Amino acid sequence: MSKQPQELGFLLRCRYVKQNRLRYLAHLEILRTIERTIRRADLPYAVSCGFSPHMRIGFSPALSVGTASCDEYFDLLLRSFIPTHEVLRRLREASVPDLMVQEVRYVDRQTTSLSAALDVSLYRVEIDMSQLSAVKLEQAWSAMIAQNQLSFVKKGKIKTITLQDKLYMSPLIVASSSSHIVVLFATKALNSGSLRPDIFVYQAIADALNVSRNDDGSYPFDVTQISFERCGQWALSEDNLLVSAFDRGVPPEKTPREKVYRKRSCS
Amino acid sequence: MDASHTSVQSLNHVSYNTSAFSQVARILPLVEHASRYIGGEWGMARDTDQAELRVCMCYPDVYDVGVPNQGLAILYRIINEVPSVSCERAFVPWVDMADLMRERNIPLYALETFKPLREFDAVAITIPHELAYSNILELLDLAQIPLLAQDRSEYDPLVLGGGPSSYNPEPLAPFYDAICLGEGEDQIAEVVTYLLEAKRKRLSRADKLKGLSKIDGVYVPSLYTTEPVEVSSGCLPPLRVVPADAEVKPRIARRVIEEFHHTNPLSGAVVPFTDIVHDRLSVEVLRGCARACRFCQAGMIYRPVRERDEDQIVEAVVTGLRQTGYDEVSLTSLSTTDHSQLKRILTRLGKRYSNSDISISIPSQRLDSFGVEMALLVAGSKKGGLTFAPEAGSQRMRDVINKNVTEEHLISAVQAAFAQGWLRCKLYFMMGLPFETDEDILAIAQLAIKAYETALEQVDKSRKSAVKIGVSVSVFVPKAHTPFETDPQIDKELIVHRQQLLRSALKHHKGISLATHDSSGSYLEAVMSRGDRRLAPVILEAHRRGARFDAWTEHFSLDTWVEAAAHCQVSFDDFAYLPFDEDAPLPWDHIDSGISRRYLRAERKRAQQGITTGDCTFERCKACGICPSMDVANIVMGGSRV
Repeated sequence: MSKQPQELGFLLRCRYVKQNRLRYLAHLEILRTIERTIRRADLPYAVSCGFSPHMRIGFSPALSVGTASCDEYFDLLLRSFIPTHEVLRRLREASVPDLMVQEVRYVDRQTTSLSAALDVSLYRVEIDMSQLSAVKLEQAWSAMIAQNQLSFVKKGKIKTITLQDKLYMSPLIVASSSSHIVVLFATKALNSGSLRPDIFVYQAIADALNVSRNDDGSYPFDVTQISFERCGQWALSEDNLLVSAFDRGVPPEKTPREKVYRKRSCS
Repeated sequence: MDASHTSVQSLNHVSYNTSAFSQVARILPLVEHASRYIGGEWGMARDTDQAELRVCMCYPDVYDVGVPNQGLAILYRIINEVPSVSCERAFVPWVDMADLMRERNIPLYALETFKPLREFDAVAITIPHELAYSNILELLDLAQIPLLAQDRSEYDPLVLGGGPSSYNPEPLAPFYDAICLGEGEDQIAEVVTYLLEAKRKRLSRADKLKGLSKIDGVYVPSLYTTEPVEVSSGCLPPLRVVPADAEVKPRIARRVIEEFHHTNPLSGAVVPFTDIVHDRLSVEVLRGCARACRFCQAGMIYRPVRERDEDQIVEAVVTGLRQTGYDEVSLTSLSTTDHSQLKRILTRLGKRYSNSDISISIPSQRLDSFGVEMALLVAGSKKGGLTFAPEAGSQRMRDVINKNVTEEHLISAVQAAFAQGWLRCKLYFMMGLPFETDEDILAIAQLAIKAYETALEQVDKSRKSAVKIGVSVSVFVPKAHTPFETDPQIDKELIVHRQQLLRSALKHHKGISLATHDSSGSYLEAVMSRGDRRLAPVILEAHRRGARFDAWTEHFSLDTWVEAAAHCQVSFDDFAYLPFDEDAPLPWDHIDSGISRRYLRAERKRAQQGITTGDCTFERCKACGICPSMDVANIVMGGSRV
């Protein structure tokens, strides 16, 4: 959502989860579903001006199909003020169970947009592969990080990226048994893009199993044995501290009731 | 409470079988559009596993095509309203998913609970059109339910059917346990209530089928047998259907909802996540059409005309948009622009939703300036394209098919549309209609050119190059219960010849684009549409040879079907190209659509003479027979139509 200081309204920041069967939704499907949820909730949302008016809404960075999350956000511009407990009640009544709004807060209109603000993502990965050893996996990652390079195949072309800037926290194996490994790691978004968690994990597994990629770029093991969840997103402050999306949003200075929403150059 | 920040603890309630889901989840990362296979949408029935009788409604195509189906949505809601009965949904998985399911032995499951279809009490599969027949078997096969009704045991679900193509159900007769004819609103509740009682009484499968056959409009194919018919030479000798014993009714009359305006105007369809074919709210504003185009099956089998009233429609749109969260609503029916109160409805809706992100659409335009006026009311500043269906090029041919429009109608509509700012327009035609000549085909080109020139006159010099007229010409498929039900399809060579004629006639007109259809799909449609029980083994054989998704050009192979027919020693050409004897029984004579045979034959005679028949919602009764035989009447809310 771009900054338009002359325009008034109430910017609402909402946190939601994507879980269970709905982890298989694609990003565009989520955008559409949440827009419909907002209409069902009958919130006084603002629409853009012009030829084809659309809802003024912005989302946190996309998650891939199959990745669950307990920490996703959207920003919504409202024309009039509604207390947050009321907003939350209406949104939850209008949401499907596995894509549910958990928390809402008003933030200042000048707040940086979600897509630009949230830099760090924490991932939790569960691997159910009997032939994979946690020690080997750890070694594979250590070697990859020491090399500071990761190559993968995208649309038939081999791409190589440097890891250093894009990996905020190195993989930490928090649980392992003979057939089950749980890993945590955090990535950092840069202007040049972010690290795809699935590639990062698949390549390490391939290295640990000592197998190479197929010619078409796919991996010679059953990738459905690996599941991903984003469990946190933060902004990085100037002094390199993790700040939650809600704290990053400056709270409105005036009591919102005094403001009046006015559409710019519409009507 | 702080008014600017509120949160809740996460609620992790899961209402489905997680172990069944985890099996499916294993293959979801490997397929395209995984959201087709997960359910969980807004409006989905939940806690369906508590019910005593469990039904699964299925559509024999992929999720994106099946979800927008209004009939399915209406029946889904109604069944779920019956106490102790629940309804879930299933669609045919796309080929990538289907192949993986077979490979991993995952049976087709319902989207609500991931429960396999074979564990339901009844599985209902819509019969939407002839090109879906192979998919009906694909669906049963993936569900691991025996394909033939006679092979199903006491433990298998009853397989029920219904929908537009069930007006000639014979090619599919051996695959269905029971077929429900006509409008299902009341009937489906009777059927499931009966099945619930039958389950409580622990009736056998055979007894349940007998009981079902006693419900009005229910056809149980296994209680009927076929016998050959004597016909005059040169005609197709069909199999007629007769009761196997005296207890069974000889003719099954389709069901009609007398007071359509008392039914719920909101189908209660789920709101899908994925991009589907008609991704919007639909409000059915009227049912039936009495324009009486002689090729049109829908115009015959959905009579009489019954309108909802203005207030009910406006209210349904407002409520429906709020309940679903859609940003678009479509006012659907066979002829929305014929609704007697349409102008008032569109004006009221336009006022309410101006300056919002909500848009209103009507499916197609009546071919006159009133149609354009209505299109203008909903278009706002968005003017995509308009669609008109003159259906035939020459006035003689339009009189033959009883399309009561003239060249002046079309030209005035095009004039109005392009003067109002539209720059694109699509014209739909058919070829292969009875009594058609090459001149009638050339007239299509002439009409398109005239429309194009008219359009050019209406726009500024600078925009003339943007003017586009699309001409789409499909091949006529004769349908049961229409005046042309005894006519054959024209043969392939003639189709190719006439398509060629048209192409060369339009060759030098850059602003006109011509789309002609590959006739092989229409050929299979004609065979199935005119077929009888002898075609069932062919469908089975085509399924064995891999036929599926025939309605999708990339998957359709006529060769597979022709080989299957040859294997079964059935001549497709006979079914497509030989006329029926007008005076002999037809394969669908046991299905009573309410339209009298005398009316259909008289209409065909008038077609031959080029005499048109008016619309009984605008003028006097034309004696088609529906009102007296079904005890119903046209209901026009505004008093009269304009």
